[in-house]
Amino acid sequence: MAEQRPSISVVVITRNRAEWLKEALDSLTRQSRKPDEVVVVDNASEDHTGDVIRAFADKLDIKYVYEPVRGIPRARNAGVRNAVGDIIAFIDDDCVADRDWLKYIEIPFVKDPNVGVVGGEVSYDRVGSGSVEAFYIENMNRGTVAK
Amino acid sequence: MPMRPSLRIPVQYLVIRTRFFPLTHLYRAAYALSVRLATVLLRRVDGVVAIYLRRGMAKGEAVYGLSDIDLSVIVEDDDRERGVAKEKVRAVYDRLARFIPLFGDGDMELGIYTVAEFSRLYEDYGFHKYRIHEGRHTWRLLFGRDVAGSLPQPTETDLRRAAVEELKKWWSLVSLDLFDGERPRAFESRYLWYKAIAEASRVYLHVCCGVTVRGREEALDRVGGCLSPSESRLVDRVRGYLRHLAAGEDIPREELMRLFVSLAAASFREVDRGASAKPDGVTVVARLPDLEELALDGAGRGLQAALERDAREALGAHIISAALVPQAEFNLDVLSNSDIDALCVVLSSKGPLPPEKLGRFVTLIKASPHAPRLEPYLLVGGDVAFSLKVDEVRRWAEIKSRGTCPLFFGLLASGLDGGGSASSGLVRCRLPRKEFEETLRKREAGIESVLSSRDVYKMRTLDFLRFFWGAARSRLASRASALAEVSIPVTSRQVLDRLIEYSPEESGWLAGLHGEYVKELHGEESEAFRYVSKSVDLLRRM
Amino acid sequence: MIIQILCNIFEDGYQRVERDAWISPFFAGANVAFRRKALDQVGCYDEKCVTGEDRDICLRMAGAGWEIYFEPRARVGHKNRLTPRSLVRQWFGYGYHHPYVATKHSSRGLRVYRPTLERGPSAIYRSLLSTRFPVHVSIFLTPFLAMHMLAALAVLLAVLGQYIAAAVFGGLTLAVVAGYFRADIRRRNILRAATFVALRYLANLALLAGGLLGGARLGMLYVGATFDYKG
Repeated sequence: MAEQRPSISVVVITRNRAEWLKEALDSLTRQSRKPDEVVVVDNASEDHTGDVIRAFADKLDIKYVYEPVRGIPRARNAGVRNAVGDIIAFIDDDCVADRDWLKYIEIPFVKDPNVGVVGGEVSYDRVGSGSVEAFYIENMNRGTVAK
Repeated sequence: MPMRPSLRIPVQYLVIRTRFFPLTHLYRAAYALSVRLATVLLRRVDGVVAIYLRRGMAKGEAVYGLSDIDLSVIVEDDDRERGVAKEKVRAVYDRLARFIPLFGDGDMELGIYTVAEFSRLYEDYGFHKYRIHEGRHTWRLLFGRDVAGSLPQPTETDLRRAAVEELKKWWSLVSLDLFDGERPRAFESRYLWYKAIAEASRVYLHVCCGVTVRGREEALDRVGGCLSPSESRLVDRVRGYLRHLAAGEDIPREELMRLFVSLAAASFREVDRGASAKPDGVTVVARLPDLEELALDGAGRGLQAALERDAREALGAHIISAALVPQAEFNLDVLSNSDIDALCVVLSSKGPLPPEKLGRFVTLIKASPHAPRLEPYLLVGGDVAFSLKVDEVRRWAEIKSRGTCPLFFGLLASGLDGGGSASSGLVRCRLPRKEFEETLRKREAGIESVLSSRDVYKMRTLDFLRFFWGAARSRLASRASALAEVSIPVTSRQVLDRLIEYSPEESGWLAGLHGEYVKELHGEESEAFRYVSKSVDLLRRM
Repeated sequence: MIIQILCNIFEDGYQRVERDAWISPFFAGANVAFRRKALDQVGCYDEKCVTGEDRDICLRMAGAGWEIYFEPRARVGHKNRLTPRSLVRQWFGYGYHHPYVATKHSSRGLRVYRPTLERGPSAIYRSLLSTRFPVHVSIFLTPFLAMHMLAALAVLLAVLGQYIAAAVFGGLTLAVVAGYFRADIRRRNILRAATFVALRYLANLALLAGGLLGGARLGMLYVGATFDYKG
C-alpha cells in the first residue's frame, strides 16, 4: 500500500555551516514521523561539514553527496538525483525542524494524489542581538514572505 | 468583500429613519444606479448569458436601507476552462460590493450558475424550482436571454411540493432569531418577521387555498381571512412592522413563532394529503439501531439519560419525551453533514413551548460530547417536526412531515412505544416507488458530480467521510431498488457491514477506516486521511 | 449548488493558483516538499536561476496541474545572521533575478499590480491591469513607490517655480512617508527607530534597484514590490 505510507527523503544543502548543520540534522533525529532517508549535499564546504555528517551515520539513514559547483538550484538537484523517496522534503542548513514537521508535511500528499508541492511555515528565530536581525524577524514573521 | 459593518450599520439606520419624501427618490435612484452599474460591468464578462434581478428589488418591495440587491448570473457551460467565467463574475461583484453597501457579501445575494447547473437546480431541488418558477413572473431580465423562462413548466402537484421547501428557508432565518444567543438589531428582527410571516402566508395560501399571490402585502392582507381572530390581529401587527421598522418595543416572539409554525404545519399537512402511496409502492426496510450503535462510543445509555435530563431542566413540566431517532432519510444534498450518523432528538410536548426554553435546551445539548451530531427537533401535532438547529454551512433548518420523511416517522414510532410495524428492531415503510427511485437518482447525480471532480480530495477529512458513507449508503440501496422490498442501511456501521458483504477482500482497510472515522467524529487525531484515496477508488468502482 | 458548496468544506491549505506568473504563490526553499512523481514530470530546479528557483518550480508545478498546499503546522525555525550589508545585498539579488523567472513564464505585456490585505505564504498582490504590449512592463503600485513619485513631483514643481503646488505635494509626500514608516517611528528607543527606518528604506531601495537593473538587462521595465505588509 505504497500510497498510504509513502517514503520521505529529506534533502539538506549546505555550505560552510557545520555547527548549524549539526542542529538541523539533530532536529531530524527527533522527528515524530521518521524520515526514511536523509541526503546531505555538501556544496563545496571548506569546514568540518564532512565530520558532522559522518557523526550522524548511526542515527539517520544518511547519504553524503559532494557537489563541487556552487549554486543553490544545482545543489538541490544533486540532492534530488540521489534521493529515492516518494516525497522529497527540503530544509535549509540554518533551520531547525519542529518535532512534527514531517508528520504534517506528509498528510496533504497522502490525502490528495493531486498535491504536488507542500510548503510549511518558516519562523525566524533570534540568534544574536543585532538590530538587523531584530528588524528582519519582526517583519518576516507575519508569514513566509514573497519576493 | 462587503463594506465594513462599522460603516454599514449607521448608514442603514439613517436610511431607515429617513424613508420619506424627498429622500426616498434619492434612495430609489441610488438603488437603480447601482443595478445599472452592476449590469454594465457584469455583461462585459466573457461567457455571461443572462443577468437577472431577483426578489425584493425586482418586485418593487425593496426596503431602502435594508434590502440588498439580489442578482443571478448565468454563464455558458464550459468544461475546458474550469469555471473561469464564474471567477471573473465573482471578482467583478466583489469589487462592486466593497464600495457599494447595497451589494451584500454575495453568499445569498449573488447566484452564479452555468446553464446546465441552473437547469439541474430547477429539476432536482424543490426550493429552487419554486423560486425560479416565481422568477418567471417576478424577476427582471437585465441582460441576455431568458434562461429561466425557457425551462419546462412544472405540474401543480410539483409546485405545491416545491412551495413548502420555501418554508424551510424562512424557518432557518427565524430560528436564528428565536434560538441563537446573539440577537440582531431590533429593526432587522422586525423586518425578518414581516418577511417570514408574509412568505409563510403566501405558501399557505397557495397550498391550502389554491390562491397564488405574488406580493407580501397582498399575502398578509388575504391570509387574515383564513385565520382565527387572535392570529388575524397578530398579522395586522406584523404589517405594522414594515411601516415602523425603527420602533422600539419588543416583538412577541412566542406568538410569532406559534403563528409561523401553524401556517407551516398546515401547509405540510395539506401537501401530505395530496400525495398518497400509489399501488406500485416499494417497501423500505430499515433496522432501528440500538442505543450503543447510535452513540458509536459505547455510551449510548448515558446519552439517552443525559438528553432526558437536559430536556427536563430546560423545558420542565411541558415536556413529554425526548426520543432519539437516527437520521435515515436520503438527503438530496449529498454534502449535507446532518446526514449519516446524525441523531435526531425529538421533543414532544403537552402544549406550545416558549422559544426561550427551547433555546435553553439547544444550548444544553451543545455541551454534550456528541453535540455536532445531535439534531434537536420539535414535534408539532404528532406529524410535523421542526429542527431547532440551523446548519451553519448551508444555513438550513429542516422541517419534516409524515409524507416527506416517512422513514423518520416510522423509526420514531418504533422507538417511542413499539407502535408501527416494528419487529426485532425492523421498521417497514411503504413509499411511492417513483419518488424513491427519483430521490436515489438525484442523489446519484450529485455523487457523480462530486466524484468526477478532483476537488473531492480537497474536502476536509470528516466532511469527506460523511460524504463517503452517505454515498455508499445510497448506492447500496440503488442496487436493490428494483425489488419489492428494499433493505437500507441506516448508520455508518450498518453501511460498513454491507460494504464488507459487497467486497469481502477489502474488509481489512474498511474496518480500519471506520475506526479512524469514529476518532474523527470525536475530535481526536486520526489516520483517516490515509484512507481517502482508497475510499474514492471504491466509490468510483461501485 | 453542490459545486458552490464544495468550496466551503475544502481544507484551508490549498493555494489559489494565479495564472499570473508575477504574483503566483510559491514556497521558500527552506521548508518545501515535493511529490517525486511531480518532480519527474515537470523537471527539477532551473540551474540558470541565481535566486527565484523556488518561484520558478512552483510555477511549473501549478502550470502542469499539480495542487499547491500550505500547511502552517509543518514548521521550521530559521536562524539569521545578518549585517546591513548582507541584508541589502540579499534584497538586491531578489529584485535582480526575479525578472528572469517571471518572463520565463509570461508573454509580453503591460501589467500593473496593487497590494491587498490578505496574508498567506506569498502573493499579497492582485492584478489591477493586464494587457498585451510589445514589451514586458510590470509595475507594482506600492506606498514606497508612491512616496518617491510624490517627492519627485514636488521637486519638479519647485524647480518650475510652482511653489504652492510643490508645497502641497511635499506635504502629501510627508504624509505617505509618515504612514509608511509608522511602525518603525513608534518605537520608544530613538536609535532603534532610526535604524529600522534606515534598514527598511535601504532594503526596499535595494529590491527596487535590483529589479530595475535586472529587468533592464532583459529588456524590460520591472518596478517591483516591496516586502512590507502594509496594505
